[in-house]
Amino acid sequence: MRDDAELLAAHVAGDHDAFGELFARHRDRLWAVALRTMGNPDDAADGLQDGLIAAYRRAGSFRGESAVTTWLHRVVVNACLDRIRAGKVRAAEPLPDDLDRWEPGTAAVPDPADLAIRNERRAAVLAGLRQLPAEQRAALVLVDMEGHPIAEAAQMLDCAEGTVKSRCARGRARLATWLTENGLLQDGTRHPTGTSDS
Amino acid sequence: MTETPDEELVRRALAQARHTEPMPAEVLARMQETLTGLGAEPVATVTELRARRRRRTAMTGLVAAAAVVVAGVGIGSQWGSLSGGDGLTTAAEAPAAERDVAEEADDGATEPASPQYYQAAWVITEESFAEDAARLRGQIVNLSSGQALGLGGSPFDEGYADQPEADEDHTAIPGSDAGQRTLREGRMSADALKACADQMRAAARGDSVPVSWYGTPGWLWYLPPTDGGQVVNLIVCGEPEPVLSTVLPAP
Repeated sequence: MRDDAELLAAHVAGDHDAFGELFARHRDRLWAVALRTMGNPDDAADGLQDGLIAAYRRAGSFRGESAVTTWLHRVVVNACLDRIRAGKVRAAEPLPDDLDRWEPGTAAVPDPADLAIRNERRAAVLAGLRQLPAEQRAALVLVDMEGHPIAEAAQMLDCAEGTVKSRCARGRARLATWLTENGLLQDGTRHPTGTSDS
Repeated sequence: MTETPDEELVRRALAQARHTEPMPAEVLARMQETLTGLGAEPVATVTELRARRRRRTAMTGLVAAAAVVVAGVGIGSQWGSLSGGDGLTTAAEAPAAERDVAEEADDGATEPASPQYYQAAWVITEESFAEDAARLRGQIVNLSSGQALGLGGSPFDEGYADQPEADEDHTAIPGSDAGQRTLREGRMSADALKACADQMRAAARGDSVPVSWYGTPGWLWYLPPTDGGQVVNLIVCGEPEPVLSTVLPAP
């Protein structure tokens, strides 16, 4: 099986199937990053498509200085940020399809109350995330949500590591304030309003 | 910068809000369709001149040292019918201002366009520059007359002040990929246009189309075709050199 770099090189060399294979490997994570960065599925699809087109066309510019997946993330994140900067985003809307669901056949049946609380927290975090400046949001998505190291996120965001750290710290602080003001981050218990243990 | 306990809780909450589901089927289908379309495109060359430097400057405050040349894929056969004017300028689809310009271009006339036209501009992005340039070839106006873009003075001096300043309007241009493409109609502020008037007067020559580049006025400059190709430069207000350049198949 060809690795990512081999697939990208094959694409540049004219292999018509290589890029599709490469994209298929990473599409779900790229989708997740686009979704969280843009804040809704429609804009995420637009941003991901922009990134897909850009990556396809700029494959020849890949110098191998980072992992292919890092480069792909960089192209997609930049495409999303470009859309946000250009104002090409829809009004914020809830993500009804983005919440935890129990599917028949899965191992454990969650307590409906627990599921509701978890969904409420997640919805609140996502709503707070949308309040942040796009650059801070993208940094938090890559570092705190997706778990990329700071150095890798810096490559994806085309900025210094210190900048990523700063964006994350400021974003977390703002998000903490926002969640606290909305009663969702109280006394360290992380319970939504009305469900605190204290 | 010290992290507070609350920020640590936020970090955990963000991790718990990670999206773990696969790409939805409808999005996957759209991406596969896009890939199919890309695979049908002939190869052209896109030369990034100052675009990368401009972007890097905006993001990091640093200025890149060199221009970068990248391989790219240019105008697809799917745009063939559009670049001739069908897709962008049909009476049923195109905004009135664009219809005016298209008719002007088609007729070869040099009548001054309406003031509203000068506020409208196609939004150009680096990612889709080549196909945008190809599609907009059907909307060329001749700047050499000094009239088609209002370079005689009046459109920049009058007619805008009373217009509400508008950001990009984002009217999707139909006629391609079920409206999924990125070329969109935008509008530029009167102040931005006035600031650029002198540069446009000085640089105006040949066939051009007004565009918006990250909110900055500019224009695509179509050089005379040679050897089966046509160079298209993106000139942006305040930038002495072309920001982007591409070579299209000769019309």
